[in-house]
Amino acid sequence: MRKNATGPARRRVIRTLNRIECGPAVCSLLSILVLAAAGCEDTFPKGLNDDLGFSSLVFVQRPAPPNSGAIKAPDSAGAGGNVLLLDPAVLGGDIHELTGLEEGDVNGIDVSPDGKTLVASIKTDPHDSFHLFSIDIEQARQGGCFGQDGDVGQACTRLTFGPADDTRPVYLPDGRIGFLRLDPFGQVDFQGRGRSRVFYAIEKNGGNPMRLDTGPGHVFGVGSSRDGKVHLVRWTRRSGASVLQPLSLDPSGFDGLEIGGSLLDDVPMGPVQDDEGRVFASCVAEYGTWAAGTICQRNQGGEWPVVLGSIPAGNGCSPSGRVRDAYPLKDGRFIASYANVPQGCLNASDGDRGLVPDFSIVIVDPATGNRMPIYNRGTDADIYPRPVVERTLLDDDVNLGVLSSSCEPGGVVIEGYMQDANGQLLTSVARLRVLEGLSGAIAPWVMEIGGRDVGAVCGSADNYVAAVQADGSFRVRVPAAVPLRIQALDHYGAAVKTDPLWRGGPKCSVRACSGCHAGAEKADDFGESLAAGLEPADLSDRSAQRSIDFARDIQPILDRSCATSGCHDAQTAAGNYVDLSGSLRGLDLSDGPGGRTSNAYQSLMLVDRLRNTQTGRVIEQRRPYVIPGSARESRLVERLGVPCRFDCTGQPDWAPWALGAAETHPEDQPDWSGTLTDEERWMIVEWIDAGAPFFGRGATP
Amino acid sequence: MISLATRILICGLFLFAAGFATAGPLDRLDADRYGPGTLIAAIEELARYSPPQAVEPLLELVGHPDRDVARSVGWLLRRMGQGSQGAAAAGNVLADAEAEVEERISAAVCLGQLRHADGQAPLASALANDADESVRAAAARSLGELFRPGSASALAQAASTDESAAVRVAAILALSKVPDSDASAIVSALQDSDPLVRRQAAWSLALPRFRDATGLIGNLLRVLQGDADCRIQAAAAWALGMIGDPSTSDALEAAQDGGCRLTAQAASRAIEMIK
Repeated sequence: MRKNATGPARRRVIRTLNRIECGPAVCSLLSILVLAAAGCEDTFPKGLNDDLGFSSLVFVQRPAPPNSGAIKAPDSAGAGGNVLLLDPAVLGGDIHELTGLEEGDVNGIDVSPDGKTLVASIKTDPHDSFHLFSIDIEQARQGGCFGQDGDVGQACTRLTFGPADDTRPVYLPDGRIGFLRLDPFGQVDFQGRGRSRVFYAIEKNGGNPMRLDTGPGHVFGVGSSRDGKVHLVRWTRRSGASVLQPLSLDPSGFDGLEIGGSLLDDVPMGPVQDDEGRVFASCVAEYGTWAAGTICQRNQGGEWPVVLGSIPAGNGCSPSGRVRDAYPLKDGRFIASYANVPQGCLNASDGDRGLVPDFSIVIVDPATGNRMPIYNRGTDADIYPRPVVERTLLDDDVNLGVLSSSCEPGGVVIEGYMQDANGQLLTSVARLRVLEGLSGAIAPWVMEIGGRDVGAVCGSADNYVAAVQADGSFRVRVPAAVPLRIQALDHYGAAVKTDPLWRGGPKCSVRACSGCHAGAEKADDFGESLAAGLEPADLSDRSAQRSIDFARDIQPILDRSCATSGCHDAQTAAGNYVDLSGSLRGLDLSDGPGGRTSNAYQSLMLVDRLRNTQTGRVIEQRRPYVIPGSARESRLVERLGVPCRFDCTGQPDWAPWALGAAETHPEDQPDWSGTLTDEERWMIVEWIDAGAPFFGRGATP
Repeated sequence: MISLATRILICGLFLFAAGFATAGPLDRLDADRYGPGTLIAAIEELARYSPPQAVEPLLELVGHPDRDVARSVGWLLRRMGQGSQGAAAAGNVLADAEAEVEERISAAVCLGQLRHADGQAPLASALANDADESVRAAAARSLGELFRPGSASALAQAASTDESAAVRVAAILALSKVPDSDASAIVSALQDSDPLVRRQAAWSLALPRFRDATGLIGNLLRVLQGDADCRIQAAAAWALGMIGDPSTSDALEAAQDGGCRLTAQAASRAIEMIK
């Protein structure tokens, strides 16, 4: 019978232990000695880890980590895994086996946003496939996940079925569960070696499975951030070579909207965002032991510089010091799984899988490199640690207060208030814009331009503008079965806020509208709003769409007003500045081929970066002239100025967030023949806020 | 002050490390010196430019005890247009009774990745004759990976008569992939004594190519309603959902109220799919 130690003195002992940072052997010994002296034995009361924001954690224990020492075989490992709960989450905390598998295995877990449930990828026997299970943590700790004759118990619900391996589940910002699927009867991969691993999402109850990634190649390294995006890495072929490409996915879209970026050298696995909005991952080397490396942090340029030492070397072997499954804590430290190889792994000649690392659960401090052991059992791999804690998957401060999206005859009706998450009216909002995304299935290509969010060129080309009532309420009818995103516009037509999620309407995203009305949420007081009594603004009429194509709509403006002789033509490229690498650069806005886009487009999207010539890491960077999705932050618009567009009574004539008329670009004065018209300025703003697409609808290659 | 011996030791270690650092991928195709991870990394690197000098050392690795190495070797030889040579080398290892079991498994895996017609005969022979069930199962899986006609009868035979359930499972999976198979052997496997064989059969029968198979729906319904193992009932429910025949809805509705929670969960999903 274990004793509960609840006295203040013991609490202090535990708190002290939690703050001690040392090597695992020293810390374990120290813990035993101190606890024995304090009479704590081996169990502790709940809540001792309040400083860290959680009191228990779940993790997977298996005889060896998946892909220990192997290369490019992320899921090929022997059987014997189980999901365990450590409560309290301190060295010596009680262990509860949640799954009780005898010959099965576990390949990934995640804790639900409310902290009460976990989703796990489980196979129940050696010949089984991995399936997703939803597990009630409180019930499972009493036992009862699996019953007799292969049945599941009360604590478990199986979410996926069939021969496919469904692994690495994550809860998505839109409430669904995303996972990787490898179907033995699926599409052959791009190298013809096996089947492609693809990304799927299901509802929380397992219903409505949808494949969300659309391109060729394997995907892996799933994680999400609170801007509503899912992050993946795709292993695919480009120009004949196999490459690793980062993807950001809008999970609510009909087919998913993909955003690509620069190719990767170090590979981020399973990104997680902390409370301050920073995105961390475990970065691994392109060639080496996958899934274990070190902790890295995504910067604004989409790069992943490491924040903890460096990625341990070892081309094929598993050196000590590798870190995987890192999860950021409130105090700046991480809970992670740490590899120790007893015999060391000095170079590539080691016996690779002969040196299976011992992974243990630790808290690691990137500032000092110190680690504090939390749990380790023998040489088993203790991996996928996740705190059992409530968390936010979607940033509240960008919630536009959309109340419902229900199917009606003629389309999806979206209604709500332009308000923030606290219910406060966004008083600066003059209009509502609905962006219609281009499906990734329609445009499976990816732009090869560095910089943040630049891949938005793949989506959000078409848009509509509708009125917002004086009380901030609105009703719009939009097309069904199309991913949509809401933007709140200011009086100058620029986006103040953008809905983080693409909306497709309940079920309407995949089926006809009949029977879709159930389940739509209605605010109690919406019936009293100004918009409630109005017919929805009908935006489902294709003729009302406004689609902006760079070559057709923007380049002619640049040609007439900017890329003129002596200004931003190719010869002059005025606006010379010394870039971060010390070279003299100019802004060339002339038409002409530039990669897959055009010269001017590339110039506007260029992110000026200074890199370490040895490691390639970004040392410093300047933002581009155009930041897709944010005209108000784009230097191009700041330089040009924007006149008032909507409901201008009482508003400044020119947008205060950009230059005023008298200060606008020196050559862009009203008496100059090439000056921009108001409509042209608004079009540029609209184009940028709509994602700065290069191809508008109808021009998609 | 560092002693001369220490200096020599440090110098030697440095040169030793430098030697590894400069070893090219061709040099690293040496199973005597390097482990599987290093070998696979070298193969990945060689795949970028496929030098002809790599063929000989690759052929030496077709029976490497680590099957991931053998799989990568087969893949690269195929890319280099050396499928025939690779199949001959791997076929020899597979047929060599004195080769270790792991080596024979690797040879079978390599033949599957080579996808060459010359691999069919040694794989079929191993499936029928090898004494080790793991080798026979690997041979069955690789016959499926060849995607070639001509293996259906050998696989059907294994699916119905092999004493090992693992081999029967692999044979049914392979039967689902080869183009000249029909559903009869798979439907029969729904009555197999081993539950895992029955589950694989149910999964395979969900494929669109078997939708018109004789007795398909009736046999799946019998499994749904009568199999003692909840996992197999659930597999049958899932297969019925994938097939999407509305006439099975009543049985699936009833399965939601049956004794197995797992079956009820699968039936619920299946009804959604049918609707």
